[in-house]
Amino acid sequence: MQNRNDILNELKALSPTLFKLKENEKQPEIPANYFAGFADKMIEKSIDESSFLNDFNFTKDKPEIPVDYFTSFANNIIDKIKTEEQTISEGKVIAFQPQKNKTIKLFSKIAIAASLAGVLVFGIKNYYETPINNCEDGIACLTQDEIYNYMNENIEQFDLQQVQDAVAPVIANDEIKIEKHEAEKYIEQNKTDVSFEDASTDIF
Amino acid sequence: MQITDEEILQQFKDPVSKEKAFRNLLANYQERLYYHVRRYVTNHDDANDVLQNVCIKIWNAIDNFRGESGLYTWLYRIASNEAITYINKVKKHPTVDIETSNAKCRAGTDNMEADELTAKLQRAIDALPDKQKQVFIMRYYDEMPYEKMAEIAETSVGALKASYHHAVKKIEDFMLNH
Repeated sequence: MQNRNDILNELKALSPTLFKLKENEKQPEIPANYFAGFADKMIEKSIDESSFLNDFNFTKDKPEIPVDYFTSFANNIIDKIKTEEQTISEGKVIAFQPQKNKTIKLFSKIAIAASLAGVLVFGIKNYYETPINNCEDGIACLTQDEIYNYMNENIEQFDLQQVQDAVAPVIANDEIKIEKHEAEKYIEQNKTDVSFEDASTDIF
Repeated sequence: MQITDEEILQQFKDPVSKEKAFRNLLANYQERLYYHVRRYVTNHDDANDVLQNVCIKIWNAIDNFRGESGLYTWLYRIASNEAITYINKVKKHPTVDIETSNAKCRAGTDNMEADELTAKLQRAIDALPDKQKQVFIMRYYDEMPYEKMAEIAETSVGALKASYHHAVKKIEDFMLNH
């Protein structure tokens, strides 16, 4: 898969240590007959290149899970949902994730709604009071300047659309909104530098 | 033959076939979702808890799915958010059980010897901010193109590339200096 090669090459360039680690990752055990029909899947994958799923490499490097975990998974979930729905309609007490003794007491739909409102208020309060390692501005604690600097230094990796996407949030920011009279003033002051075409676009 | 997303979504439109649609959806995606979640949390029990929450959210919210993104993009987003919510909750309210679980190697089970480098890698990933962790997992483990990551994270390719590169550098630094 070309995409995988790109990703590995990128990783190799960024961090030989991590690249080596990824290359040497132990393969988990694969269930018997896992590859039965694998060729058909690959053909399907080739035909449907646009499929999001096909870009994934989800079968690699699987951690181990209990045998037959997925065998009854769908039934368990559906049973749980049915129990929950029934309990809500009857206003009973249900055990939720009983292995950890977590219980939710459901008195009535009104009580739930009231609780949710309380949780929301408390949650918002808690959110602002609790120092968490999660930045709100930009992704993953990077400032817009850091992102721009990165893009500027690696401009060959980006096409015009990607640059526009990265810049768009800033353009949309109210703080830099330019009033019409300000734009007109700017054009007036810089009319020798502004072409007619530029002045007629939305850029101002 | 695997049922397509379009067929599943069609089945969901009819309340009579909703359960069947849900079974088909899980048949297609449960493993992928599980392994994605498992990259965030340290053991199977936690992954199981998160996955159950994810499934219930899917069941409750599928009627509102309008197809503006691909089905798996939507599922993946729910799973990522749920996993991040879960690990933040664990951070806030650690218990003996969870601390014990954290001591285990994320990549293995009780009877599997933890590889020192893998364990160190997991500690480095755990130290990343949430969003950067998400970016790293999508790129490093799921080997996802930036364009798809942008759909899921709802941000720009530029921001994601910068974020991934910073994450890799941080992890490398952790690996070499701890």
